[in-house]
Amino acid sequence: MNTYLLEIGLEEMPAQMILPAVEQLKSLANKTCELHKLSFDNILTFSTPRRLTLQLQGLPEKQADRKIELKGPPAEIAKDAKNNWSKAAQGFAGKNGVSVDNLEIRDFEGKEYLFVQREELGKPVPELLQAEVEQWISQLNFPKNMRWGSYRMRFIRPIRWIVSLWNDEVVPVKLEMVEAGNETRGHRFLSSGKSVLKQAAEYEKLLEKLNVMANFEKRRESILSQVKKQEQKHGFEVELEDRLLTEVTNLVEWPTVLLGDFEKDFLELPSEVLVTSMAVHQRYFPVFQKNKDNKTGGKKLLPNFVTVRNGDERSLETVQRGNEKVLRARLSDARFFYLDDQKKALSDFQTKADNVVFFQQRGSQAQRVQRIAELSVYIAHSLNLSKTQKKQVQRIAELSKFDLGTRMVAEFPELQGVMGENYAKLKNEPDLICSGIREHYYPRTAKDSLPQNMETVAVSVADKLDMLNTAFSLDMIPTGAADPFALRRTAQGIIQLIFGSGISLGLHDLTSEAIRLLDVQQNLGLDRSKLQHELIKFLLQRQRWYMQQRNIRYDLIEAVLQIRPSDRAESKALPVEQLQLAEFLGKHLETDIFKRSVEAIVRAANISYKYPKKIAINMDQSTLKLAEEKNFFTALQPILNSDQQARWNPENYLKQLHAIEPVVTRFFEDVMVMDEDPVKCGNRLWLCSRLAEWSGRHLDLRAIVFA
Amino acid sequence: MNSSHTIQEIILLLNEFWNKQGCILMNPYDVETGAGTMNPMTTLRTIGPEEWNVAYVEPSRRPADGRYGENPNRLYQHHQYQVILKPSPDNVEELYLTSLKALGINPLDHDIRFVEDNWEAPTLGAWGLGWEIWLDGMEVTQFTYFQQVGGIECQPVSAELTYGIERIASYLQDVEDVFDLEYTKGVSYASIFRQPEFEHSKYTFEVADTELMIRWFNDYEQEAGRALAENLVFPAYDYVLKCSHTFNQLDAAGAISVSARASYIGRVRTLAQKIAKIFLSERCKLTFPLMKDREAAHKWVEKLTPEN
Repeated sequence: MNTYLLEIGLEEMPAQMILPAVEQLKSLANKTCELHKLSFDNILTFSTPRRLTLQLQGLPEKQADRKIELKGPPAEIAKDAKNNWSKAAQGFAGKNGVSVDNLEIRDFEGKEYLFVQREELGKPVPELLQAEVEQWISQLNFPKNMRWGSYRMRFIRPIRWIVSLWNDEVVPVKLEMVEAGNETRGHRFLSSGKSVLKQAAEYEKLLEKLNVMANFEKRRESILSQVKKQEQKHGFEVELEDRLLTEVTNLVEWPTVLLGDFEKDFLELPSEVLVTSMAVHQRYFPVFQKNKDNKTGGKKLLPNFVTVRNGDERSLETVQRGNEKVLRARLSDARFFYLDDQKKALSDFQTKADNVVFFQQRGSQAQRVQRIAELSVYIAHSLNLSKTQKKQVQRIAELSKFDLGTRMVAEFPELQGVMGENYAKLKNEPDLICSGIREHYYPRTAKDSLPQNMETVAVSVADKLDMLNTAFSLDMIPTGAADPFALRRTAQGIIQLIFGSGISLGLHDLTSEAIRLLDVQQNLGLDRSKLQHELIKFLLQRQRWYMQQRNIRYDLIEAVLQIRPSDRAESKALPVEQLQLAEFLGKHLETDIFKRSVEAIVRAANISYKYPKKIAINMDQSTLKLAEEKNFFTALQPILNSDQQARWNPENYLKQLHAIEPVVTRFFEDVMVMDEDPVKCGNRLWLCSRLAEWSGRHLDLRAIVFA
Repeated sequence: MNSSHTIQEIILLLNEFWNKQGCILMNPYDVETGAGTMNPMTTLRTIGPEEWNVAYVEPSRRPADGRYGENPNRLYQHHQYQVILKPSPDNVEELYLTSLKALGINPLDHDIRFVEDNWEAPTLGAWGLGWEIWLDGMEVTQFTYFQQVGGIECQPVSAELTYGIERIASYLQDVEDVFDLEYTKGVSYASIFRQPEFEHSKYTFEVADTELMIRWFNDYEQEAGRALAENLVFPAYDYVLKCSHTFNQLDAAGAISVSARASYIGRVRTLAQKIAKIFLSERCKLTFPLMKDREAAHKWVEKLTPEN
């Protein structure tokens, strides 16, 4: 069997783009094999910062020969009057290199045609690959491409060499700046110059000799096992955050793990500052004590770090000392900021926020905080929080952004909230307030946790909603991929909070208040209903996403969310109720009785929406003559009444739906709704419209699609 | 450490190295710059099709980084060693690494990495892709492939290498505090730069007349416009540099609000983009004299001259 190898040699790629790139290569190769019906044993990928590699194992020498069938002209013109093959038929045979004796007449979609069977010889695989490989390279997709030198090509980073090898033979590939050969490169420093790859199958072995671990997994394993050795030797624990480990693995070709120290004094800094300096700025792994601290229950940070060198053991101590020096400089800076910030009162930072513009024409950061505070208290009120709780909400909101004015956050923007909590603690603010300052940013991602108490939840919703509202009021509405202020994530956070914390507040009420506060504070004269429409539309998209994550059927989501605008009901429906309803109905979706109920409601809805002007305005019960009409009317009563009294819930809705279904079905079977008599017709449409309206308040069953 | 070069020696070694590579050795610009990139030897010369290989030291002013000469790592003015290779040669990374060897940095004894870092200069309408280069965890060089300057697509692409001289020196001399560096044998960095660092910081943060500076900014901007109206690219660009430095002073003094900031940056960028355009058309009128391939130069002129 045969092996094909493609190595694209590059200047150092951004670490996070390497794995997606080889995945793309693999799927392109897969498509090629599918297209040409090539069998193979395995497609392997290799990758380092300087190479993207594909190895196709177990390929045949050539494509299998294939019988292909070609369709010709219709049979009616295939023979002439004397029943001889016509010119058209002879031409068709000749074009395909067969004699007319081989022509067949067969049916094709109800009509007879000429057909010919032809044997097609399989092409040699290297020939096929040669035609495809340039396509693979040009089809690779990167978020940001560049040009270099005088070349026209755009790519993630400059391409410097290509190896394209069929067993031991070069498969020619030619790009603008380089021709493929059989020469690869080893580790930038540990090996030198070019090295010939004799056999495509020996790629990984050769690179190993050239001090390159080409296999990402093996490189990762190597780092892990070296770290483990350090852990065993020193009895500590290294925090190997997965994303950082992947990034570091993609920054090196030959990993050597080393341990460094920093001065114990720096441990006085908040651990987040230390961890950020190490992990984010320097890509070091922080080191912790093995056992949990008895007092705090957390793990104690140790004055060490683990880093991975792209090289071997030589002069490891020099590398260690260099890294220690860099970290020391960073931590000295951080300590200076930390102490300097503490010299000020929290209120000093709040005053500073007066002079910081949030968005142009939308006031200062201080004014934004004021809006957040008012909106938070409004939400707290709707959530029935106590007076004391509302005061706490107010305080969290007031302090929510003060740390943006600290030097530490200016230097470490990723520590917003964390530093606020830390500094507030030092100024003896209560724990609830301190944790609220940090947690009001939650949830920051789809999987992030929510704030741990309702006081903070109120502030979190308010913060996000004000951000969204302010941006939308300036027409900064994300379209396509552009979303510089991460407004989608912000809206998603609001939805996560509403559902995750079970907030009984509708999007209509929330957005109304947010818009009112901004409009009044900044005296803007906004077109409030237009703005509100945009905001709700945007939030509903996120709500859809959330419900999809809960595996709710798409049509059911649409049924719950797409309520007829004319019903004006969308504004009042609470998202939590919509979710409940959808989840509940999801369990009954495929029962026969539900299907029949939906059919009945949909009929009633369709016909009453179609003839709105014919519906009786004041229906006189005494004009109902038919039993089916009377039954329908009677059956409607509990539905129309019950809704006004008790709190609506999905179980009742379904019960009532099922209860009325036989009556309605019967009605449609036996009664002509569109009677010539306007009174009869009006009455019957009235019945339908009441039923439709009742059901439509909760969801639009017309969106449901049965298989 | 097998080498402990003084700052002066580092500059000499880099000069020698890049001289051998055929670079034009230039001098720092005589108008205040925030970085070697701002020197017209980079900003303007990376626009258009002409070859251009140049190396020079650039004392770079960053008013906001002034720390009264008290911080071991931050300076009002630091020194960059700037190299532009246009078009970027295929072996540009190897050239850079060889230059480190010339400084006595043997890659086998260190950990040298290319870590993604994309560069953008909003005031210049410029951006590029590349790396910060780490020497044992310390960023010692910015390496950028220019993609756009003054809003104009770079054709060909230049490679920019910006060595942080103090950073490299503090590594080679194994010094924690920049002021402990040896500038040349027997002369410390502190003895030369401590006083100006202190004075510039004090001036920027406490003394500078910001109202006057706002007027200056407006005047420089206006004068740049006047020069541009006459297609005088270089004088106009000098005033853009003046604008840029004045803006940096004002910003450091906290005299510019966040919203006003964006508009100041926008004003400088507008000028820079106009300058880039006119520079290109003026070079075109001269038939790109720095291009060795005269035939190609004429083709470029044809391509860039609007038909009428």
